[in-house]
Amino acid sequence: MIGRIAVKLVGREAGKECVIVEQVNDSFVIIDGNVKRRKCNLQHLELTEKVLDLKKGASTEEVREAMKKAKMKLTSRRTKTKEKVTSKEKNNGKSKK
Amino acid sequence: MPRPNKRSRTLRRVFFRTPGGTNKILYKKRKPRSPHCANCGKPLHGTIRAITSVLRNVSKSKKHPKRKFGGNLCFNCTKRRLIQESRR
Repeated sequence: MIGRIAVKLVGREAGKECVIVEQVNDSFVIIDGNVKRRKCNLQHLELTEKVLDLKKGASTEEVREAMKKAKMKLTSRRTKTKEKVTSKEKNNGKSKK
Repeated sequence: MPRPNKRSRTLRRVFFRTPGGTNKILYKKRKPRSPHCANCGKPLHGTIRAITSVLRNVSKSKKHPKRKFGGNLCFNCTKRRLIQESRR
């Protein structure tokens, strides 16, 4: 089960490829890859035949490297925090009327 | 009598009371049909049913769910389509 490539079917990440990293119980797994690392129901995944060579609980960097080796497409993931742009920086160089 | 073009029911009527106390009628465009799934025809969640002049001022995220085929297919049909794509 670990290292198997799957496709997310539900939610905003629907259609994105991910890798199973850890199995929590019969119905839940932890996924990573082109999606945010998260717990996911197996009913929301479509498993494929491809399997990557990974350890249990591999970090995101390890997963992404393994995906690179397998020549899978790497897309930008959703991260937790974005850099905030202050109003001063926004208006930098622009003159107010 | 209202004007001949206002006598048909193509425009909907909105009654309102003016500050002076008289009742008046506003003639407004009717709402279009709500967005439906292109595959099965179910009404879609997370979409807005309004005329285009109103939709112009609404943010994009309020007009459709941020999902693949969001605003076009229902969740069930996207699921089926994504399964088909992955098995090819």
